[in-house]
Amino acid sequence: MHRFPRWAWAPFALGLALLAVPLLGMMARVPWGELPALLTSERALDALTLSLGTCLIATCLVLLLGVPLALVLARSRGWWVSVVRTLVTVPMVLPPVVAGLALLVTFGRRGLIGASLSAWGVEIGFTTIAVVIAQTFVALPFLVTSLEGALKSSGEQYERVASNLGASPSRIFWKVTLPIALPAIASGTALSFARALGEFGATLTFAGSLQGVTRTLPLEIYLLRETDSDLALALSLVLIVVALAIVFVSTKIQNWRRDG
Amino acid sequence: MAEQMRVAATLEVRGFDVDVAIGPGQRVAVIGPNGAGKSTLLQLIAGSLRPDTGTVELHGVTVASPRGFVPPHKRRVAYVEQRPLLFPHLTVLENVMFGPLSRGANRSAARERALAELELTGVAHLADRRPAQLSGGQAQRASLARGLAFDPDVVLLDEPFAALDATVTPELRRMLRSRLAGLTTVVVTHELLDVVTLADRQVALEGGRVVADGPVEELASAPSTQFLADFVGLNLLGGVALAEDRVDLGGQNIIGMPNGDLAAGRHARVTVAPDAVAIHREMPEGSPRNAMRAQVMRVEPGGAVVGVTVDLGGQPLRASLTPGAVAELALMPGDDVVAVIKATQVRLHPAH
Amino acid sequence: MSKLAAGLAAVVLALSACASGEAQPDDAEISATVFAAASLSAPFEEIAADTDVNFSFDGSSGLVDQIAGGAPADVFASADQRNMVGAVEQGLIAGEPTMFATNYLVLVTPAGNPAGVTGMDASLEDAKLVVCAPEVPCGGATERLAETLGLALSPVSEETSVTNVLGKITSGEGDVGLVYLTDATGAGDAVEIIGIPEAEGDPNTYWIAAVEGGDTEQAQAFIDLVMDSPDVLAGYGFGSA
Repeated sequence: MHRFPRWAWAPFALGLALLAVPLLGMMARVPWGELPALLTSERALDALTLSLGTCLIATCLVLLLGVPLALVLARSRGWWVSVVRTLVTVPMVLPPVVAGLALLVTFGRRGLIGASLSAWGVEIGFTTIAVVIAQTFVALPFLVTSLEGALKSSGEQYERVASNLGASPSRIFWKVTLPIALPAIASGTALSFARALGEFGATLTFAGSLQGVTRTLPLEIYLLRETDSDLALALSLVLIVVALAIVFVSTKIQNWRRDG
Repeated sequence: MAEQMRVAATLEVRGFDVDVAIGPGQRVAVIGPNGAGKSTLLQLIAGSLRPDTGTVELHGVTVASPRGFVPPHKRRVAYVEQRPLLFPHLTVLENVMFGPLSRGANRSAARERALAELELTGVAHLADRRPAQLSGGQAQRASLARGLAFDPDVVLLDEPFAALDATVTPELRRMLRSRLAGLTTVVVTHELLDVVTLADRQVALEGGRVVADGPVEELASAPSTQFLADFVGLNLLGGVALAEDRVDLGGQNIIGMPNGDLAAGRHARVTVAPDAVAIHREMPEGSPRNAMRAQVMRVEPGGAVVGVTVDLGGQPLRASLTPGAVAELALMPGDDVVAVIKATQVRLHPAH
Repeated sequence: MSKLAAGLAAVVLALSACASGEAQPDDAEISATVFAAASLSAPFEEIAADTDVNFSFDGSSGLVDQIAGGAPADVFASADQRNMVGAVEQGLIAGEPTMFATNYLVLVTPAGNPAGVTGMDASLEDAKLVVCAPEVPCGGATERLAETLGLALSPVSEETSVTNVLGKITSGEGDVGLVYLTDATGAGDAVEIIGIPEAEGDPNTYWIAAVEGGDTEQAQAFIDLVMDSPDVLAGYGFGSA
């Protein structure tokens, strides 16, 4: 009957406890009664709107850049492909602070690109644009890697068929590649959004922290810990709920793709 | 000939070096072992591959040469593969409309054309289904309809029935035979039946070279390589139809199951599996319907089965017998024998 | 060089203390466990180079929590008065705390002072000012300072720690920041320091005390060693008590 040894239950329970108990512990500490008041406070609303707005923009950028990037990677051959794939994957495993430093030396006032921009009067540091860049930087790899896998496993044969039927490369992209990859794009987008929402280190290092301008939810939570732990917990709850929703949605999409 | 299709090309990586010209309306079967270059030939015609040297001409227009290349979507070549590969996100009708729409037809014209093609391939009633809701045979019919709906100049079929249940292929073969009439066709196959029903010329490839090229009738009588001999696992005989279930094989009649409309007086092909042929010394009792006089040509012991080839009115007919039966009959070349075949084991095909 | 000189000075001072005949163990014999604010790590490591002292560096408030939780500390060194008072109120301290160093806010600019900041004045208005958020101690000090000066600061960023403020200045991203002198000193040539007289008048104070239940004799030996090493502390930007 058993498909696994009985003792597997012990590490199973321990592992589950490690993952679930902190979340439950947090729920226990959340000041539920004051939640509405806390979440509608100016600080909370500023952080929420800023996070939501920047994440939406970042996710759109991720889609615009990520889908073609994944497509080119999935359909190309040659030594450079693995080099590019490595480059694309690196931000995923990079410590956030390192990502922030990398962005700083690139887009900062004295950075590789930032210096020229600065000469033109454009300065990115301490602006909401910096937040969006940081979020896009860390979220893009999530879409590209998941989408590239999906595009490789299907797609190419249908594209060949479409080409023989007379479809131009652009028509193939819009009418065949994109619709077939839609579930993968959707779940990749959900993951990217989640990653952008949770972005902390790179924003802290690169964008700064000012209420309503650059202080996103995670930064606000980090700061509030020092003084107002109730509001910190309330905002953390918001992030947990969003995370749950995204995991739920992306699992649904994957199941749908498997069944359909 | 201005209208012809010609592939005179090499591909170094695959060791491919072929020069084949195909006239308009000609139906060519390409056979050969795995890796012989059959699919390479189709891909060169379709444009999925570019030749290293040489040219590919379609309709007298050079579509691939060292100097230029016309991409697949600008050629009018239908390419139906072993798997139907219907677009999973579109209905059957939308799949078939895809070709006409891609080539500039408006929606209503494309829809009309697609429905007509689905009617011809026998799946018009499934127009609104999703590919996932179709059986293998239905999907392949839809795939054929999709390939034909944009009125291609050339139809390429790459083992079109290989992935299908054997019970649905005869029907599909018949449909395809009538639908492809008059269209320039190149079919890659491992099935003798495909060659017999869908082609009038066969090209055999081995190791990227053409090793045999000629009318289908020549295929069985003089296999030039081991592969061809093995390929002709079936006996293929030529004759003249007498009735829809009866063919004259040069003096002796054979009765069988018609596969297509046999008109009296027209050429016909007969296929029989070697293990359906029994050999007797004398005319057996009970007068079976097919009992034909023949002479032993060869006896080839081959382990569990002994191959005996007899001369049936000038055409070779192979029989697979057990070693015990061969020993009992003491068959020697030149012996007079009677070949007995059950009528249900004989297939009769119209030759054109 | 200056560190070496300061170290030598400390040794000389220690020797002179021995020579004066007070009942004090040799440096090498001091073996205490010291819980100290993170900002003290560099000077304390230097001061205790020849001893057997174990350090645990962390944020002051975190250290108070740890000691209250029963952590085996002999000495507690706090980066501000508030946390030391908290420790005393919880009955964690044996005897009287001693103030041993001060620290105060200064303005730092990237090397070359590109925005031309002259001090806590109108020159800040056109510059990108980076400060600590009010929630963290350095931000509290910043708020008090601005209040004293009657200045309304409009920073481009309120960072979560003084290190983050300094980072924005050393990278040149910000034009001017408000940090502690010790942090500014640690940044070396990457920044220019502009003193603020008003801040020097209201310094942040560092306090040290023996912990209740610890080895008070060893604790006192370490405290004496620190009190005898003002030059080392000064080398890192700390003011004298």
